[in-house]
Amino acid sequence: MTTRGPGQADRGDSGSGQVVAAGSAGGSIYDLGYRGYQGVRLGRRHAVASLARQSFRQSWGLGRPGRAKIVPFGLAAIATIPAVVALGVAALAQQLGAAQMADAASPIRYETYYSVVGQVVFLFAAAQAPELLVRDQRHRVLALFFSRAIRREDYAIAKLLALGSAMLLLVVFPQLLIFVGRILLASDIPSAITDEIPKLPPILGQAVLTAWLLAGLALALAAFTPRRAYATAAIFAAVLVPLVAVGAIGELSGADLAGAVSLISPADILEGANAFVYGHAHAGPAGADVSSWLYVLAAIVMAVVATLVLVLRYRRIEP
Amino acid sequence: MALIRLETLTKRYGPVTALEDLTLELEPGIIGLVGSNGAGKSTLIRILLGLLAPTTGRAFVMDLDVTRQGTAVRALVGYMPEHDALPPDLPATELVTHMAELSGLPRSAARERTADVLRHVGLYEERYRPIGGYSTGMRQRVMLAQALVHDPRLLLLDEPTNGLDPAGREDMLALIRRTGTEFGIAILLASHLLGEIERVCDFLVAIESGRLVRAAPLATFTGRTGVVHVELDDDAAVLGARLSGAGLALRVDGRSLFVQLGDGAGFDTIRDTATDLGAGLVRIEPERRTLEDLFRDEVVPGGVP
Repeated sequence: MTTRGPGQADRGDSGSGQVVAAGSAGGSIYDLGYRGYQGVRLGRRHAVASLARQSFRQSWGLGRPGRAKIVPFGLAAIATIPAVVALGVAALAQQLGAAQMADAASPIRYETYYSVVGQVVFLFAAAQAPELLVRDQRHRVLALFFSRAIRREDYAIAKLLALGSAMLLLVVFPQLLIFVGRILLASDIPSAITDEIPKLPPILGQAVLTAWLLAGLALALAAFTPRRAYATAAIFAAVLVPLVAVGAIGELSGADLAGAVSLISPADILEGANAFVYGHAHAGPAGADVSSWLYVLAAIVMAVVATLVLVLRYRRIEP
Repeated sequence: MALIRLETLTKRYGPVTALEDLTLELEPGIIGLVGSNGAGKSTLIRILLGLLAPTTGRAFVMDLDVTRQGTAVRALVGYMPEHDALPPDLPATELVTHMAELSGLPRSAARERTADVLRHVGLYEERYRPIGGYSTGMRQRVMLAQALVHDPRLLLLDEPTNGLDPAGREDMLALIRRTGTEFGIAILLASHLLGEIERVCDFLVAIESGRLVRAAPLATFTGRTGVVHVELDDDAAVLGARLSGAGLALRVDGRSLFVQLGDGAGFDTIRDTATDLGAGLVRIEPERRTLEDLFRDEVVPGGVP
């Protein structure tokens, strides 16, 4: 319809920009030359990986002022202290020749570690999921993200990968500490390695479920508000209300109903899944008797639903 | 290859029509998109970015379908939104590097380009401080820098001088103009200020209430009118009478004469007559149409395709 050659750009009123130019207000813009970019352009995968890496750092407060690190590293320390204490006690007991006894009496082992640090892991999700999402919505940075070479769902997935792996690290690190410590403390290291290796799959399986479920749930909720406080409150409500409700139902209507309801309570689900990976066929809140594999199923269903909600939210959101 | 091609593009938000039946083909250059607030400028830009889906019709950027190949389009396009979109807690250099990576640049290249581009827009030491402490002018520069950092083929600028003071506005417009002319980056500049478009663009697309009013080179809007403005340092009546006698059509207005010239020959007559009379000439200047006429005229012939 309308065509025109590029040569028409001859108004020339901005000067041809030799060395200084283009700034009428005291020449505050200097032309030191603009260069084009002829280098490689990596695709969407690189972009998503970069967003995930950046968000992972953000979830630990890395590259930010010190106060951004207090919460994540504080929680990580709290989650790790029991492991360190347990190892210390074990080392001491060994010197005193009471290793067997201390081992049997210790409340801190792989199997029970999640119960010990479960709250810490949940707090991490409640504090850091809003950290990852709220700012971009509140300051409308999404408009910049969505106009890059990624799709909207990529943003959601990258954030989930970032928070998920941060939480995976949080859950796994203390247990790996115990793992390595037990091997090093053993009198016969090679046989200790053979003894301990089979314990890795349950540790990892349980950690992956925990990280995916809690990160997914927390992000899916945080995606709906540009206010950090609301997001954290919603995450607390989503985990604590069902937990308390299951307890109350157990008191009022008996263990069977409580067992059924516990299948939609994230905290109960993760306890149940923990029981499953360590070989217990049955689990459930006080007195209830639920097959533990049901909790694993519930964990996967809930994590998938949370992931879908997160993705759909970012597909629809108006940047 | 057309830079932008729209085929009967329509966007409705429920009962509200934001864009109606736009058909248009634009070649690379500096294109002004002008219209009052709510005319549909931002909607059009967001459709071109693949951020909004058109209700009907299609849109192409460099022959890529924006709805189907959105990611490929966005890799080639830089976007500066009309609203502030900067996180206050990050330094400009970190934000811009990150944005470059999200456009597919490797990390080291992203860093290098960020340094270049921030210098190009005039940000120096400030770049390492959090954006929260920046002035509006600096923020707009960061926004331009992030749009330029991946060396796009097309820049979509939505009201880039929003909130700037007159000096900042001048700087920004000069920067945009230079970016377009010297670096060969095509620009679509949306603005409701005709003066800005006039200063920067070579081509103009006018939309009003979502409909295309006109699309043509800027020169055809603001071209010469064939009228010459002659200003004297004294009353112009005598000179006017003499020129009328010489066969020129004109209008006298105090010290000014507006002479209708068919061709260039009239200039000599004006000069010689004025010399004969010993009149003090202040200026002889061809009158130009301004863009305001476009909207004053209401209906522009040949506008809607």
